[in-house]
Amino acid sequence: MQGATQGAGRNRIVRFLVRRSAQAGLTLLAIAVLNFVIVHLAPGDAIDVLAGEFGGADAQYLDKLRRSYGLDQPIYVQLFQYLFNVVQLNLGFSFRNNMPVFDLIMTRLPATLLLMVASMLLSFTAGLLLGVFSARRVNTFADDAVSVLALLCYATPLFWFGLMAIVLFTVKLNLLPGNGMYTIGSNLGWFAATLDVARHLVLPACSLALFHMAVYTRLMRASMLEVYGLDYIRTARAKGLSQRRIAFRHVLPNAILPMVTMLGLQVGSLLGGAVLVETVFGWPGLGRLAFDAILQRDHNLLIGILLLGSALVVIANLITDLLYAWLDPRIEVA
Amino acid sequence: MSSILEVRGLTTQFSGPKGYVTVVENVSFAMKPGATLAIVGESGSGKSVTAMSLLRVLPEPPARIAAGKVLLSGKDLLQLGEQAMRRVRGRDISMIFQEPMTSLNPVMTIGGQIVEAIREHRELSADEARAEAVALLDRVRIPDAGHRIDDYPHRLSGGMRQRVMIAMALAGRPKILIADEPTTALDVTVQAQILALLARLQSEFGMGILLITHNLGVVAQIAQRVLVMYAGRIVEEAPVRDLFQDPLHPYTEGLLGATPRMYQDAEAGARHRLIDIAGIVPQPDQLPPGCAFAPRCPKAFARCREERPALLPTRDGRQSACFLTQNTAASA
Ligand SMILES: Nc1ncnc2c1ncn2[C@@H]1O[C@H](COP(=O)(O)OP(=O)(O)OP(=O)(O)O)[C@@H](O)[C@H]1O
Ligand SMILES: [Mg+2]
Repeated sequence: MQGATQGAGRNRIVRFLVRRSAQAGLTLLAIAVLNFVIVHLAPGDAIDVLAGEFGGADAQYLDKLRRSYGLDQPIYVQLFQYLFNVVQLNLGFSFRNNMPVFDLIMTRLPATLLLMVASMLLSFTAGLLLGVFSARRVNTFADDAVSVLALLCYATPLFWFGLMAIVLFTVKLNLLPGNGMYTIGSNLGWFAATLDVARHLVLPACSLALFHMAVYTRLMRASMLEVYGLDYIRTARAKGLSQRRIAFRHVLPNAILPMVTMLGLQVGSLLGGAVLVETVFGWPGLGRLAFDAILQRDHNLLIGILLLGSALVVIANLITDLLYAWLDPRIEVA
Repeated sequence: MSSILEVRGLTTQFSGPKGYVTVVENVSFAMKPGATLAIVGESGSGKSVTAMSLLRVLPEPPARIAAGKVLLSGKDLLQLGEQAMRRVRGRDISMIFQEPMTSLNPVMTIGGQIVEAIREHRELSADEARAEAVALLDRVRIPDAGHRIDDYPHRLSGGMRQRVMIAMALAGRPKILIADEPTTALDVTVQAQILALLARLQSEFGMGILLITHNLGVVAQIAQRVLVMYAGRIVEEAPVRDLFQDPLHPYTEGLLGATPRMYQDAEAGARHRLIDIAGIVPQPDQLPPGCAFAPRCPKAFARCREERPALLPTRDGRQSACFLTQNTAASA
């Protein structure tokens, strides 16, 4: 609110950021090593895979190939080579797509980020509002109705909901597009193009958001009810504040903290859900790419996507931790 | 002298697995303007529930006020709607609580919490309210109030937080301050400071104070009249000096016996806990049929175990709920 504390607050956030970024870097390094180990635990190497796909080749040729890829080196040398490449954002080459893995991923990343961020905002906001709504009417019909709705959303399989959404909104009502990210062959101005993407985004983002919205709704309701029972809420009531003010100024800002933690935890499963949604809706993102990579045994690509997925989760957690520190003044530099 | 607050037959229950359990039963008392009335009793005797019933800040459900009247200048608070009750809370009657560590909102600055209370009850602009909040923090002796106002509660010690609670309680300029064990959670030296602060603020603002405590030393220090509560009921009422010199109810005797030479010690600000009477307070759902204190009472006789003694006037405007004292009063 005032200058002095805000300056101190910013300082606090900066120090926090530096420390957490270092941690995030270490985490990513560990994940890269783990990736490497998992791949090398599997019997055979990339050359065996190639050989298998070509229907066999003579041993001398394979050895030559191994040498040229550095696969004859001791394992730790290979590890350092791998890490060195990763740090330089060199994730190898996708023979299937005839493109460096990193470039390939970068062409698909924006679509996935758009889908994930949209569903995250949607599910968080809707879950928050429904949770607050429910908790303020605890044990009424409205509260029960929200609980049932949340349970339904929680239990409905993602792909089923996606397909039904396409049947209803695309096929029957012809309201929203159900496939792809933009209208193919159209030549639109930036505004119309944005609108076009937004229209394509509605169904996949909602489908992906639904499950998470249910999680947030239940969490927010429970969190609100817990905070309602705390001493400082009694203080707020004893001051003569209105129910509305108590709910929004006192209960909500405290009840939202577990929600923020959950936000960080959900990124991983959101990414998993994105694979499904992108497949159902033909959304040209990383999920589809990963799916294709599995089917085509494109190992370099798959590992690259895994690494990037981990990076996304780590970065998202960093952001939620920052958000948490900003929302909760008790998080001092510790 | 007319009373500013009069409580008649207050009965508060909590719903439990086997129906409603009466936790406060038929409590009646009156408060005079600007005076201090103390409620003493062991842990679990219903002091906090009584106080929270007055302001109606108990969670309903599970709580319900089953009977009684709480008359504030003749107006029954128990009949008021939520809107009207809100105007009583913090403006006519304020309350500070037992647990200063958890009674402030951790994600709001103390200034924000005080300003909010001020603006709820007085037509002030944001700037005026902030200035008033600083002034209030000064009044409760918080050093460097102008800077402290932007701190979050976790930066403050327990004593400082209780001062903030007091400042907040004063924001609406109440006629009555309910202080529920305001010093129990604090160090001895801090206790004395907070009590001195309350006493001074009382004379500055002319508030009546309803002081809840299990520390008889505190009672001796700042109260004029005392209610002794046991198992949800009042068992004795008396002016402080009379109570200390000549307790009528065996429970009161026990309390005093448990804290020897209390009256002298009180001046030194010593801390005493009333936990030395043999036995424990019965749970509200397991009260014996007769006098609730009978199982622990050294003077109990057959009638005490069968019949519940009513709270009746004895002498000198005192009241007691004991067959023995009622008999002596009758024969005297
Ligand atoms: N929310 C509740 N639900 C059920 N019973 C309760 C609740 N709050 C209090 N009680 C019961 O009411 C009785 C009186 O409690 P109260 O808090 O008023 O005691 P107290 O005299 O203030 O004790 P202390 O000195 O420990 O603060 C206790 O037996 C307690 O179990
Ligand atoms: Mg209490």
